[in-house]
Amino acid sequence: VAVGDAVPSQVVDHYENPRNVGSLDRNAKNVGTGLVGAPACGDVMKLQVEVDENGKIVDARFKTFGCGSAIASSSLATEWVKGKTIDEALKIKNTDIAKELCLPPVKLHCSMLAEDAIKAALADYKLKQDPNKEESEKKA
Amino acid sequence: FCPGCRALQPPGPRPDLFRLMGCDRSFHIDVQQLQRRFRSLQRAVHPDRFGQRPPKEQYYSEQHSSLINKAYQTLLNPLSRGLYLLELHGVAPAQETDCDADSVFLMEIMEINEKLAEPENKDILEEIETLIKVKQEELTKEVTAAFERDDLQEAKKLLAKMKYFANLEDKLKNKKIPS
Repeated sequence: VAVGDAVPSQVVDHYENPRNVGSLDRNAKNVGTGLVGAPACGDVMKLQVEVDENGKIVDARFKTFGCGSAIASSSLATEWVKGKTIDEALKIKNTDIAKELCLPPVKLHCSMLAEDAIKAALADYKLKQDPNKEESEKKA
Repeated sequence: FCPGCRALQPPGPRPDLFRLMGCDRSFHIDVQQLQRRFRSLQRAVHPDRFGQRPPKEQYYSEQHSSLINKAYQTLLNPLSRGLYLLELHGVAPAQETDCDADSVFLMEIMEINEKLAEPENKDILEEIETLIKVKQEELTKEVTAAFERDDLQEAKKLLAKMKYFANLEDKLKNKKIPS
């Protein structure tokens, strides 16, 4: 991928030096895994969070296969969720990510994908904490 | 071409690419017929044949030629063909994030991507290439069936899956190019 002058430096930084690339143990009870895809462009993004007993996110990793903006968005997302509580992390909006990375309009969906990945990871974590609750909620 | 003076006319607005290439508006097409039509159309309008004509005609010829290229590429490739067909039927392509419902599928895509990202291993690359081809053929068959029974929503879902595999195919091709 050739990065021209038109690419804002923050996208380049998170693309060339993405933070937190990798995996956490998806089978661990305190790890939530979010796996999302963008059908329009075929990007896939996996985002994982490790939550401590106080409900604080202590670690996060991601693996994204897609364009530079998608990689940068998920890299930034993992940076931002660290140290936040679940509720705080759920408040992260794609518009914040897009603004921070100066994403052009045509790449806004990449930040949306990152927001969805965060939510999916946290939903997975919550489900693992109380599967019975989810079941009874489904029946209700 | 103008029937009177035989001067080249501009292409019409919003042309139907199927009609332009002489194909029925359906997902299933005769590829050889499409290729024949492409070649014969380009023989008629290609800019190389308009070097001696007035500038306006030269300009129209470029427009026609580009349009025919675009129509050919769109209809030749099953994914672009399917998406174009959806567009003609007023169905927007999938935009919403795929998540829980498709997790098995996404995991498969993730795994193939991870394998592709590993250092080059000819055997694994061949394995992946075969896998992608098989999946694309399967999906193409399923899309054909969906369009045949007018199930546009199903076609839309399947075309979204095809997009993921198209990306993998591109990545594989890039990996095979010696750097």
